[in-house]
Amino acid sequence: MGKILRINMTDMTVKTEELGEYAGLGGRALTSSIIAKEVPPLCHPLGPNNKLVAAPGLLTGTTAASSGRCHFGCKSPLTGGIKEGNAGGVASQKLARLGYSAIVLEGVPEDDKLRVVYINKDKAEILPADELKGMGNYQTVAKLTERYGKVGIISIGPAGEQKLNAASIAINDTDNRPARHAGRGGQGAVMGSKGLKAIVIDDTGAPGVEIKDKDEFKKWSKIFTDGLLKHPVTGEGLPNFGTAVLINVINEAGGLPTRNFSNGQFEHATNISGEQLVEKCKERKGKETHICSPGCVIRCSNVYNDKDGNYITSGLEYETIWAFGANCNIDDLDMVARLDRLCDDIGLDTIEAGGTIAVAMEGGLLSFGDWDRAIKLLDEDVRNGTPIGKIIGSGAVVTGKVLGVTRVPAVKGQNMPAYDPRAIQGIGVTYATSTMGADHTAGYAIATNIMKVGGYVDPLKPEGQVELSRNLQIATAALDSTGLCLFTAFPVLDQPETFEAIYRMLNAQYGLNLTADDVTELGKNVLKTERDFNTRAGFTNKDDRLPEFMYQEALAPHNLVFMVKDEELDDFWNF
Amino acid sequence: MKDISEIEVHLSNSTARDMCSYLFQSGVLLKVQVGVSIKNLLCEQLSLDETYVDKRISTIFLNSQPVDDISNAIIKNNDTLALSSAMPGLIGATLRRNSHLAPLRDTITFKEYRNNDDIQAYDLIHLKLFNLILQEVGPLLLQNGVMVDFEEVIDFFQDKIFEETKESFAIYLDGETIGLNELRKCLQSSAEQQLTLLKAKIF
Repeated sequence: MGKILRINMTDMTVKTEELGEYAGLGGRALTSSIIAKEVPPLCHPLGPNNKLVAAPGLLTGTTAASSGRCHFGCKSPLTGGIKEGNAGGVASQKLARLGYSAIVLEGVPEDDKLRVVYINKDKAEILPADELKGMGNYQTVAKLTERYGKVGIISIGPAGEQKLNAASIAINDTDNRPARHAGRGGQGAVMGSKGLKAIVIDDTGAPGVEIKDKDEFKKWSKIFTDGLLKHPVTGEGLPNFGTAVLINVINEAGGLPTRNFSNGQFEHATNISGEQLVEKCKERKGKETHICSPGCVIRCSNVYNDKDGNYITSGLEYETIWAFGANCNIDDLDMVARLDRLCDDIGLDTIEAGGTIAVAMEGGLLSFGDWDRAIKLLDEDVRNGTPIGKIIGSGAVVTGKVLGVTRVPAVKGQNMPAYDPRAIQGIGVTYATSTMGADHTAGYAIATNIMKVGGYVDPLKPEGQVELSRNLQIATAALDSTGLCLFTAFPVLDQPETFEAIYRMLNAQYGLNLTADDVTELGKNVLKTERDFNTRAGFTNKDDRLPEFMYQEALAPHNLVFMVKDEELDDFWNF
Repeated sequence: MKDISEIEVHLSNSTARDMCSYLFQSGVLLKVQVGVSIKNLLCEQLSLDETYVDKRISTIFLNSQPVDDISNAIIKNNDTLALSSAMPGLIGATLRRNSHLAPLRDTITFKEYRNNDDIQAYDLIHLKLFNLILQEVGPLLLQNGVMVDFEEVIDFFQDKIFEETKESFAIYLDGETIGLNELRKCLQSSAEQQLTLLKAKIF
């Protein structure tokens, strides 16, 4: 088990301590436990009592495939509730190899100076970094690389420095680009409130992660990797097309939110599809398949170049393409890529930013499809902190209030992702009940019947949506604690031995005797811990609802409203 | 100007893939026997291997509704059928045929299952292909010929696919060889036509 590195930004002290009561936890389980125990639920998210936790997963730093996620936790300035968000990149594995299970950032500085934290095998120190003030993530990474060499970098852009609710935390990827983001919930603003521009992680000479039974670990790690490679989604679909492959399919299902959730199908979807993305990547000598963190065998990322072959952005994903594409009525992938690059550089969540611009389009600030104005809003207004930039950077709910827009697709203050819950009602249950606000990843891990989470769900039973959503959220919370990418959930769904490999690897690494039931219990505990924090922060079952318009405005082409009853949603927490 | 009944393009594998991507994502028209099940259509009429249909084409929509039982979903005149391989994400998995997550999309699931008592006539349906299915099935269908909306044919031959390809290709208009520019002129002068047959010979 690793150690906790506590960094106090008020008195500028650094100390290392044992995991203590947090032993056995990693990733989301660890971030949520620390926040729930140590952060007063009613504190201001940007004040001295909030904490920001960065934690590798339990398997991170080992040779387990696709296990390099870095998890962040805090009280969210966007939702007012507990928040966990994670991203790939190179930082998490370095942190784990240095022997850290978590970094806990505490307090706020008494001045307005910027700082970086530098961590290597011998020390962790807080250093002045005012020269990085106002810099985008790309320039920040370039400057820090110049100074420290090949390191892991966790950073914020101007949005985080301005403490905007939609600010993200960036991590550099395998090409040393800050293209991987823990986007949701404004965690970048919490980092900014602590006056911290970046955490630099140098694992040169690091001891590495201890494995109790190396042969056993190797055996199950191979089974796990083989499971990922042989599965049609992780072994073929994602490496070939990335997540953007979903555009055509969700559009066909009538669930692709279009023009601020006013339609379920985008007539120009083929112009922004995964198939189109792959062709452009090939044609322009980008990369149609790419890894975001070392040891990933799924390779769902990409590198997108402009028509002259110059790099624009990396990891152009389904959610981002939807957010700036269909949702803003922009059918030009080049413009969507530019908007993605701006978000990565300024340090903004692409889902919240795209959703907010769509609300602003509906509110008349700009027209649907006006990519030129959208680019200026981000690059000039948000980056430089103009009044309208601060409004846009504060998210869809704030922008909707300012502009008098009633169609604001948010739950607990967080904009919905790329699936309309009126078409696919089950996702609406997850959006409504998730402790995180509207979050598609909250109920992502689809291991329900294999893990027997909550018992077997009859696929022919139409009323099983709440039960399924609950099981999915429990399974996801467990998977989020391992550091494994959520995409590993697909082989876990279809191949029992791939799921077994997860807890067998954990047993071999830590010398434990975990069973499938223990993994389920872990997931349940995480959800209950998060729910308890939110309750103490003032949330009630009335917050577990979709926005009013979704119960009233029928969505084409299926012409449905959201029909899951309130009492069914309330039943979610009965476990 | 007389109607253009058939355009045949002789082209390389890679240009054929580009052509398929262009055509099948937004959909082509196929003249098939309707009043039969989707499974019959795919396996008997389009000659796709049953195992391929069962294992590979794991996500199927009929008029935007996800279908679970393709043996009992009957295809009718003017229907739109969309075929995809297994998709990522919670929703991707939810949309899969016979997914245990199917209750999550219960309200849009295709449920008009009935006996095959429709009139089994030859008529047009819309067919869309996505992702791996587009790459694998598209070229086969293109070799047999697909009906394409004439406006789309005009747009397609205006596209850069042929100008930018480094591979050689040849075009035949109703059996007679024709250059790309000449074809474009012919298409423009027949712009009021509604449909034409587009075929490919892949070398």
